[in-house]
Amino acid sequence: MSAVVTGLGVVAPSGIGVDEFWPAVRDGHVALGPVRRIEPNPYPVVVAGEVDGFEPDGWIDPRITVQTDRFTHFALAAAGMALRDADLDPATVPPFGFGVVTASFSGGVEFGQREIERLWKDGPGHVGPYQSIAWFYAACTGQISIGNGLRGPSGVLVADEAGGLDAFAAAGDELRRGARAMLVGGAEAPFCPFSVCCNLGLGLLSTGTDPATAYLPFTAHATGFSPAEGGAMVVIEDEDAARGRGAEVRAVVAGHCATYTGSQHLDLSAEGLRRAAEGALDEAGLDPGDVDVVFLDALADPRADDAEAKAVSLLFDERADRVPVTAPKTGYGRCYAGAAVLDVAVAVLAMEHGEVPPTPGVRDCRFDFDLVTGASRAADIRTALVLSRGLYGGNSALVLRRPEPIRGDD
Amino acid sequence: MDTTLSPDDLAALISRCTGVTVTGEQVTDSARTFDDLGVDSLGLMGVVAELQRNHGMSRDVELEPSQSPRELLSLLAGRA
Repeated sequence: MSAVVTGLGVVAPSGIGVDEFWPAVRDGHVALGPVRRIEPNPYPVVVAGEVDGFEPDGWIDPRITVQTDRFTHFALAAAGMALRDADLDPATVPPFGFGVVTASFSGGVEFGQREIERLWKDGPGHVGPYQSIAWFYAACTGQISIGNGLRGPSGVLVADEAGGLDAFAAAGDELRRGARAMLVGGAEAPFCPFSVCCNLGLGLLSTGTDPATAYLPFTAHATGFSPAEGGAMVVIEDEDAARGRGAEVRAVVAGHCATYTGSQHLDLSAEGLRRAAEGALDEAGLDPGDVDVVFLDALADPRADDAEAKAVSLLFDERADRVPVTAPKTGYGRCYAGAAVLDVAVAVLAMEHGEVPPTPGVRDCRFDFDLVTGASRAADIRTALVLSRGLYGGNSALVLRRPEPIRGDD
Repeated sequence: MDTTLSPDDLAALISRCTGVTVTGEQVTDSARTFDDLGVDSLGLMGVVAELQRNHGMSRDVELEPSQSPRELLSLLAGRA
């Protein structure tokens, strides 16, 4: 049994929908800008990736809009796009055969902020009843399931940011247990005082004031990452089921592995990432020598960058300076548990287009790996490795493969 | 505090609280329940709370989705 990608839905600062998103990513467009969702913004984080121009109208039933947070609006919109992209009507999938797994880091914090402010200003009677369902981490999974009539195995992973990759493993497990299709992914909308305050203490958010230089991982100017909102949803299916309905198989989810190296120990993530990558390749039946491109986590903290470069070096050994590596998220920011899901979407698109998108804004990489900068680079990509770390010590790796031609076709 | 609410005002309040588009005509139709309009129990709870906070509705009022907006209208202070 193979899990295969058949549909992508993206809501990102660089674009809403794959048709907007991919050209922006391929061309290294920088979509970072001043924080506008917190006005006035008293916090030292002033550059972020916001999804401009996204309004729930047209994407979401107004009844659902009032009872959900912006992160769920993103997830619902992305799920709808992914289903259309996969050309898959859930009604055609056997009952209980279609489920949802999302990863979440922040939860519905904008909605929660608004209601908690009413609580302390005006009292409990002023908190709306939808607070009970809007804020919590499972809201996206629940609303996607209800809205699309998906009654299959569903769950939510609150597993640090790297949970964005772990969600693919969880959804793949459900396919192995008999589900026919899964929507998998995650979205974040973390721009409110509560969330920003929670994250400031980690010391990993960039306080740079210029969108062109605030988020420059792997350089001497790395001072943390620019946070972002957005995310992606992906339709994955059992390969035989997908081919049986004539669906276009976009990529194979070939292997996954997660490790944990503890919070406040970014240096240990070198070993954690290396082991995760080796475990994912092992599950895929591949070696590091098979990897054609790596999508980096790119925390832009000097210790974290050292550790990630070391992981690449340990993994590829003498080939380490010849494997293209990239971090397209420097163009749109790091949207917590949605970040790695966006990387998965980019990896699928990169394999399809035969191009490695660049790491926008980064010049003068201080490591001797082959970081793609400036323009995208043509490449024949059969195997992509996606790396992700959580802010609290999770390390995950996912291996994606370009699909083989249909059996019997060649 | 505004304790008088026209059917149109109530319809607008319901729409704002629940996201369901409701007209003044629907609000006065005694045959039409909240269920029929697509307003669920949580949505109705929000509507009642809003009326209690800002429109003088009694704190004792409880309503089920099987009841109609017209019943709600009749429960508003100054209209009973």
